[in-house]
Amino acid sequence: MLAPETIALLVLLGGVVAAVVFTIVIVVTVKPSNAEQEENEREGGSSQRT
Amino acid sequence: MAETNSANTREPGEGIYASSRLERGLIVFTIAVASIGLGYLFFTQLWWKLPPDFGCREDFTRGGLCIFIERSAAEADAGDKLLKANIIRSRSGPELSVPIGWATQLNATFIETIVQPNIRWFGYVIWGTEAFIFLSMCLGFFSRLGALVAVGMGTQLMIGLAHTSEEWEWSYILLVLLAVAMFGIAPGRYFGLDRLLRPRFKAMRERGSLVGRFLLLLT
Repeated sequence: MLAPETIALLVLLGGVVAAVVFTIVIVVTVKPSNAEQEENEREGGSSQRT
Repeated sequence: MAETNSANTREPGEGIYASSRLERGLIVFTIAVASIGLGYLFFTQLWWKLPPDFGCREDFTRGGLCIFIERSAAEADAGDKLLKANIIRSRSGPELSVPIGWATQLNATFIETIVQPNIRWFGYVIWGTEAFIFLSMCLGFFSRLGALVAVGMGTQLMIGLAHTSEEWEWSYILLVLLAVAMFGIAPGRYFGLDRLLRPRFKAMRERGSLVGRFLLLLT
């Protein structure tokens, strides 16, 4: 039986992994809007108005 | 001078945005520090109320999360005040304050009728909510939603505990104010995963997707 601290750490780690995987899936499957790409190119990829 | 001229030629709405790479870096850095700091605050509070007992003892009546829940209900009073300013020291009591007795009593009713009888599963809701705020604020992942949840959580804590003995009310008020600022800023747009997600959600919205529109609101 795992200690509560270990389970909590695993839950948090699972949350981090889930967030990253979700982002990767969206990045891979959805093409960003043209306006957004143009804005990023204009501002050297550092747009804050995303 | 050259920078002033270039600023003058910009669209009016651009005035609030950074005018140089250094300033842009400073803005992103400070927002990241504030967001991660807020997330870390909630991270530190996860460990004294770990499931499955949430630090409670004696059949969920004492200690841990249960003692704070009990205190916020037991010390609710119609005369509770917040934002107290004691200007004239010779007078007892603050000259300026906001009466929150109605809110503390409403909160006490919520705790006594919903939270305390269901603490065995409601504790998971509380712990999970704080864990979500930590993840959202530190990863910049759905950060507007995370900040909104932090505003709600902080407000409940402020109403329940800020007026009680042994507490400094401003620790709770500052928590709420920081969460409000993060809600307005949506920090993930500056440093987090939301920077990658938002252009895709915008594309989904442009194609008429209601899901894309909804997700865009949360980032």
